[in-house]
Amino acid sequence: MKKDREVLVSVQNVSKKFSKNLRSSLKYGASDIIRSTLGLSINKELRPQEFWAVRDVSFELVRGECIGLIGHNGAGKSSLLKVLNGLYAPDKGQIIMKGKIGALIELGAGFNPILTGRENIYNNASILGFTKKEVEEKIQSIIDFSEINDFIDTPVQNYSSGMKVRLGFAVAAHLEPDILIIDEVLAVGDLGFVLKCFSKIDELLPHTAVIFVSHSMPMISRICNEIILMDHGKVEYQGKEIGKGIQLYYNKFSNNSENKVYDNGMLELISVQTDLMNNEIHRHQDFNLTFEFKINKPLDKLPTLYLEFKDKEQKPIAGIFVQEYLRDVNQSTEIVYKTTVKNPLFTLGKYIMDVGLYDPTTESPYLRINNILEFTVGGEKEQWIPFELDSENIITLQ
Amino acid sequence: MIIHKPKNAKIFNYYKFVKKSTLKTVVYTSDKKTHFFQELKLIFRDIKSSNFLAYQMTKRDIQSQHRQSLLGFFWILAPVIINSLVWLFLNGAGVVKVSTPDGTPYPVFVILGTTIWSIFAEAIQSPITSVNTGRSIISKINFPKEALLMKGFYTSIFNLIIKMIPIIGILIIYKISPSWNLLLFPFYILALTLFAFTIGLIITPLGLIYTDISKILITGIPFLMYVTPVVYAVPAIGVFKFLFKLNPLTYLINDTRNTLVGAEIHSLMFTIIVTVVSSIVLLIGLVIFRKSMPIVIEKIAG
Repeated sequence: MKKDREVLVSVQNVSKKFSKNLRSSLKYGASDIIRSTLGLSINKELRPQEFWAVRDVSFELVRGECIGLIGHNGAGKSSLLKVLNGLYAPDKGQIIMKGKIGALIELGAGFNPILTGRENIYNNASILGFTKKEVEEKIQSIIDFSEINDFIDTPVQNYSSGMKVRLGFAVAAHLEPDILIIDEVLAVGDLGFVLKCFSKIDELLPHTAVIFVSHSMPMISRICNEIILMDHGKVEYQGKEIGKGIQLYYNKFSNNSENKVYDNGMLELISVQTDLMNNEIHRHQDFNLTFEFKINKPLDKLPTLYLEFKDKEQKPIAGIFVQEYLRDVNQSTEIVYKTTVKNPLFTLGKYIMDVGLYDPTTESPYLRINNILEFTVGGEKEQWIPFELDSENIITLQ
Repeated sequence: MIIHKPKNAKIFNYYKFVKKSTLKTVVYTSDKKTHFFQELKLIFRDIKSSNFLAYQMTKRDIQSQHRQSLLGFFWILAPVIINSLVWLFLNGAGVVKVSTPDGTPYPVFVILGTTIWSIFAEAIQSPITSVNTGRSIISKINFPKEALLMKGFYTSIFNLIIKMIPIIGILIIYKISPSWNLLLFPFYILALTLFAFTIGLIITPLGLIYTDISKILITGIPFLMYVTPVVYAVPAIGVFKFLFKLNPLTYLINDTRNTLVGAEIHSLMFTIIVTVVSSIVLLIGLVIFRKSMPIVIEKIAG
């Protein structure tokens, strides 16, 4: 299977520069056109007002592999994709692409609002490089995939954005490319369609080299086997350790200032204490959390303390309820909750904790504070999943 | 929700197909050193392969332009008819006195003139206009940009056919019997279109970056019309006679009209030379267009 290992995409030291303002950008554009027409060489270095949007990126991709591009907004991912797709010429370096290139950069680009879905399929497909015969062969399959059979003869201007994405993806996915470039496009569809898209991508993946841009790390870790983290045009991390790349990406954002999201004035947080060194948790090692609250108005019942752990994507992943019945609550002026978290199973990474106090019977909140504590979990292995469960295993060979 | 289908036969076939075929390789590099003729070869390959695309885009544009209007194709003719009516009125009211050569009735002269002129004016703006209408897709999808030019060309041809309808009508109404020269009409109209299209193409790359160029075009074309025998014949004396003589369009437009009214043609040789020169310049223009499109896309398309 030598053919399967052939390199389909080869990117060597590619750089791309842009101009910061329109006036100089147009001026440089005009002078570049004139120079290239006259056969003069074009200045490859930065001119005033210019900056590197993509700087010195290199990678290779063989059939059946997927590379993920991640980075904050404006890191240069989309510019790099446009260079890869041949829309922009690189200012330095070289790109070699082999085979049919399918780009899902903007689904439904070129849809005409007045024409019907069916007419737009013909249109869009021809822009993507289908021949007439191919479109006629595939049109039914495209319509079926998009699941908008009933409205296929309705003008596209009456479609919802989700429907347009469905139609766009259906057309592009039927291109059967050798190289597939996917920019953040699947975010609009409903869950059913996103799942369908992924199963289609899975179907294409063995025959295709995929370049995937997304801000959704679960998607990246699901399909990529190499990752490039970009920052201000430069490559910050490149390698096969997806988890490491994702953690580096997450570590770039630390806007986790504590904020009170609900307060009815009955209770007030005085202090939070942990016995963790540098807020670092170690797997399997119990740790303590102590919360001290001042009671402003008398209570009849002891409030429930709720701790919620969130991963970097703000997704709640675990929680602790501290609830007990104590008498003479209304006499006291302070409550101290001391909690020991036993055998934490978190995997390496950063986590955030929210705290809330609730009425134990009505469950109506008294106080809720987000991002009260940020901690990291140490460990040997980078993993994507937030928990690695303990298990006892019996393996038999037969 | 997800049904895990086994790899179906179709995909398997596709895979086999891929293994058999030799893959097309594209290289994008900063310093592209390609020969002029190599570029031309690539351009012709792309023009051939994107014929269906150009046809689709033409169809889409025509359909979508006219679907939202009640009068539809009438709007292609409207500017020509209005312009002709203005001059017929001016002449009829005696505001201007126009003499036509060879005893051609003035309505025939003016309707043919304005129609031919509108074909010229449309062809010269065609490259810039068609790339501009494709602005939303050129920054998102990579396809041969030549298809946009072809779309412009096809649209011009379509409009030309529509514009022939009143011409045929007026020739029948005035019982003008054409001579054998009518056979030369397709050649003349093509020569004129080619000439205009080539000029339009040469200015396209810079015109896409600076809108001044198309503004000059839009404001300049009506002026140019008055130093060309469109609504009146070449003056017999004076500075204007000299200006008319300098203007190559004078010969092209006069002769094109003459082939229709059955009059004698005067500048066949000149037209052939113009066509040959236009063709060569067109090829150069195509290469420049191809080389500058990546720069243009980067600058104008968001």
